[in-house]
Amino acid sequence: MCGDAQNNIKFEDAMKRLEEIVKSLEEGNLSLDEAIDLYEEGIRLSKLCNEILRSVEKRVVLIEKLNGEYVEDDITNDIYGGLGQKE
Amino acid sequence: MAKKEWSVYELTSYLRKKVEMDVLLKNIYLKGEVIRPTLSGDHLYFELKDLEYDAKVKCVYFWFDKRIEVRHGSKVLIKGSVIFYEKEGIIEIKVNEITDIGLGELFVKLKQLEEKLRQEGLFDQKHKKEIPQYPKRIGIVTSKNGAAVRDIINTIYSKFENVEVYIFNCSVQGQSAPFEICEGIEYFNKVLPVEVIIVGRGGGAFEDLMAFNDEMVVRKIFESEIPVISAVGHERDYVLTDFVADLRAITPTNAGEIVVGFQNRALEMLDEYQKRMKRAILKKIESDAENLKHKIYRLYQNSPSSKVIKLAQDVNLLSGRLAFSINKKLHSVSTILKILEKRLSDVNPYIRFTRAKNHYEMLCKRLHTAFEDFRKRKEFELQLKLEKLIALNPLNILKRGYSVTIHNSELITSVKQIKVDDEIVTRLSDGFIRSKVLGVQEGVDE
Repeated sequence: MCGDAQNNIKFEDAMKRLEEIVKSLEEGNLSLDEAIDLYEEGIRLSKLCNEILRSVEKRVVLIEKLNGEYVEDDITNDIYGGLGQKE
Repeated sequence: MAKKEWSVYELTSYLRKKVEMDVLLKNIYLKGEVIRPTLSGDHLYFELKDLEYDAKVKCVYFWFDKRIEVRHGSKVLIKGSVIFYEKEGIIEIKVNEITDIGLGELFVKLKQLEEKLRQEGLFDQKHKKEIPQYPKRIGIVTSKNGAAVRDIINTIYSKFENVEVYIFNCSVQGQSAPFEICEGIEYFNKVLPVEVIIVGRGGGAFEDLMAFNDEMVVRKIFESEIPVISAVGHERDYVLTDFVADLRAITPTNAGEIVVGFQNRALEMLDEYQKRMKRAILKKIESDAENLKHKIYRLYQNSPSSKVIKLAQDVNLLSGRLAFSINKKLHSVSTILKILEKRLSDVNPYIRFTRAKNHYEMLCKRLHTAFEDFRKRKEFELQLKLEKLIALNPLNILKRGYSVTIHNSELITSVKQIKVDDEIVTRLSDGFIRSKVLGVQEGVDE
């Protein structure tokens, strides 16, 4: 949880920084070197953000109490079959 | 015997008459709980539910007095008549009066509980935890067979794929529901940590939602370390979990939207940011390249070699102009020189002498020629005259037999010059005869 929380903070900071970068690039008052440095940073950040966003794969787990025991069942590949009949 | 065939209208008309004729069904008093009152124009429509058994009847109150408050769940006593709608084929109560006989017992209890929990501060804003914007692990406490869980999962994965969803299956109505819901919340807090919990179910009758008004459930949500979203029924259904939860979703679908909304938006933003960055950097590079091209051009224009070329061109031009002006000068000087030479030559004594000499010689020549011509002419004239003279020589005539007579040294041309006895001399070619004139006769005839 802690790691995730840190990731979240990083992610939000990265998004904020990215927005700043986009704005300063668009304002265009930069030297070419500065612009390229910023662009590289921006691309790196956007990749990082994408990686963070995509860091987890789709996964659906059903938890049921059966005979007093909690049973976790990964139903990712058959979500609705795992959930049973619709009411 | 043929059976009678009824039309639907015949049947419904018949039933209507039956109902209308029955005096027992007129001006009756009916007790029950109001279900879903809706106002349409001036008319109030609702269902009246039996207080003990599962039975309902539709009611309509025409020209309803809007000042009277008729709420869902109200226990009421109505006065009205039973009517049969032949077009719809249904029984309805046409209400004349409606009297509130106190809130539903359940409703009263619920109100009391809500008040108690509110007093305790369970619903206070200060206790609300922030819902994480980018949760990767989402817990759902609901029935695996309900529509709610499908709505939530469908919504989540249609918007954003990269999250894990943990569904804690529990009853959502009935006696054990509150316990099971609490177990689910407990499970995510103690056993399987998630970043946000959705607790909910689909819509249902008021009493179907009672598990979510349960004090134990409300307190469990309050105690949860993990943020909780309450997602129960429809927008108009309010339950106590809505008040205690950190966030109320108006429907289960809405809860799905909430948990992945930011991530979905973030993906779009990232895409947009990338596009905008690319556009901006390309624009920058293009404008710098253009600038550079311009500078190179200017540099080339100002380079030593092009300066030399330019100077050489200038030299060429200037030398051309110089040559031209020198030539022009030379030409004008030589013209002057020629004039002067001519003028000088005009006054040269030798030339003047030569010219005078030439002139003299020419004149001599002309004189000579003129003299010669004159001489020749004169010679010619002489020759002519001589020839003439020769031709006229009288001796020559005399030779041919002619003679000349002279008298006193005068040539006799007429007889009148002679008289008789005159002595005359006749000249012949070879001498003279002296004679005396014997007679003179005029005229030629003999």
